[in-house]
Amino acid sequence: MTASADSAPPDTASVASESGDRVPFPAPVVSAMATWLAVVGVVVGHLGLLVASPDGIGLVALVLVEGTLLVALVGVELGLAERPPAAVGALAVAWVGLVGATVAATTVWSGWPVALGAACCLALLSYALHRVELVTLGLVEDVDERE
Amino acid sequence: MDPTRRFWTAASAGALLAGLGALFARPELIVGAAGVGALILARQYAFLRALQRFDDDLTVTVATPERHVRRDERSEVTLSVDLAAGTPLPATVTASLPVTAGAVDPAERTVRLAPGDDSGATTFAVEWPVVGRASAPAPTVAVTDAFGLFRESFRRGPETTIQVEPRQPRNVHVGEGGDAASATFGGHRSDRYGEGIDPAELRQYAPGDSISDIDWKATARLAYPHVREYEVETDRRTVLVVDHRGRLAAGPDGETKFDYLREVALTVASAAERATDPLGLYTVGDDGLTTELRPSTAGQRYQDVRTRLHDLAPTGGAGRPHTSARGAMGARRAAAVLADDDSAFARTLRPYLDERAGYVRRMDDDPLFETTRTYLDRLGGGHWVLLFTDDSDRTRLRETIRLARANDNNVVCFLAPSVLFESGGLSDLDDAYDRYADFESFRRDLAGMDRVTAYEVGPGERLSALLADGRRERRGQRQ
Repeated sequence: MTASADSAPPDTASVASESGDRVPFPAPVVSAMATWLAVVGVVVGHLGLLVASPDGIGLVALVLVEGTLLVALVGVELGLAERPPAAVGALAVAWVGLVGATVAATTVWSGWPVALGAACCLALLSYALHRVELVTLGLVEDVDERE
Repeated sequence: MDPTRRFWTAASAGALLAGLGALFARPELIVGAAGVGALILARQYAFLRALQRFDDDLTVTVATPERHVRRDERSEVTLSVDLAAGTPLPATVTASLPVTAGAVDPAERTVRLAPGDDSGATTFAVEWPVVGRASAPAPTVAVTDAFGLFRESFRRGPETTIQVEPRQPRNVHVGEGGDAASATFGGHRSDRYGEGIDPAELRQYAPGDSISDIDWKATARLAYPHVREYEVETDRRTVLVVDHRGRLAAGPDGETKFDYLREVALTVASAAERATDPLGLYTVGDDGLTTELRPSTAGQRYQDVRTRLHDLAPTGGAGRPHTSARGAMGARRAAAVLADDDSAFARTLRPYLDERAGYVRRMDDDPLFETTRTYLDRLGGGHWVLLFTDDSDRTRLRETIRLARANDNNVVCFLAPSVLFESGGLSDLDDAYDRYADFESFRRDLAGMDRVTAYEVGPGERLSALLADGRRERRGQRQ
């Protein structure tokens, strides 16, 4: 397949590069609605638990709910992701690891420490992926200079 | 990897869940926040993997037909993007431009790739208004992940360098029959001994030598009368007669006949200043004499001559084939119309209509001939008259030179051969060679006159190309 300037969707944004040039970024392939489908599903699902069980649910029930949500998210990823097997694998590992660790932590500690701990873990993992990407693309020096 | 607004919205939803869970002591909400985090993290990882594959497969090339362009020229640049396999991500590749290049709409210099595309190209024209070395950074690649949560930009491909050259004569050839002349001007030795300041040699006294010439110290040292001789100093009174009639505007912008002749005239003026020769300047436009600077060694004179030469431009006239600039007559007519108009519009325009090349004296006949007849005759004899013109009107030029060498003047004629400056003049090389041979015959004819030297002035590359083809042709005929 060959691309041309006319065949592509319009750009969503452009930002200034280091040289002051405006860089046109391409539009994402998946629509905003589809992007939010999974996020809203997780948020609404957990808020729904408050309504369904005002006194809280047990550990086994929570694990079952999280497992069900994972299956639903896998279905969404299979329909939307560019490489479904890799995306589903990454999602499964991240979900089991993070959600499992958080569930385990809530059995030991109370709310705030667990919430802050989960946020810190997520931030660290996300930053690690960011640094791996910089190293892979050879952008470490550029970014460090900018910072 | 830059997060987008979608990322921050998703992260805020997760943070809200975590906050509510901590506030109301509901662990299932904190677990939900971890679920949102896991979802974002998985998509970040998927973007990273796709980006790595994309970068491994990507090849960006930037092609420009020429590395050297003239100022204000446009050159075509082609940006090509190839991927070994179809791109997993939507991407754009934008060619970068040097700061000194003319503006080009980013859309014209951007190749857009949709997922699955494996190549793309775009060609755009760039104008180069600034002289110098222009370096364009490597093209910028911009990618967005499929869900629009992250994006990244980086540079790939070669840096491109373009040399922008000024529009002025290059490789100015001054010579005879295609051979470059050795320096004709500069400190000139007379090769004669006599009165002067610089000692030349010591020789024995001979009958007839003046007693005042005897070097008494040398005589005492050598025990025989000796005379010290000095190099005779010459004072070359130089008069530049520069033709800037409309027909000398022939040739590409910045490389016209007049531009080449002016380069030589400026060189001569500098040489005259170094040798402190008296220097004068007469310039001739279509309607008559435009400058009269009599020969002088005053310090300001050399500067005046150079300034005037730089200011000169071919005047508007019948022989001016491709210029739209206003001539002196046109300027005066327009100025006369505006003279009585006191509006702001007229006041603003008036300075632009003041023709710089105002005429010292208008002439109905051939102005070059008339100038030589009227003004050079007044200067007296013993001058070096340097004539800068072309070969368009050979009969009148011959008469002018005959007139210029009167009064024991020496004439050096710098001629711009028309064949080297015509647009498409070298398209038929055989015909062009014949015309150059005709010019060369005319030049030799002039150079054969007593006290006349004639040189050709023009672009060296064009002349070399013409002569090389002529030689090839002759070899072919012999075989």
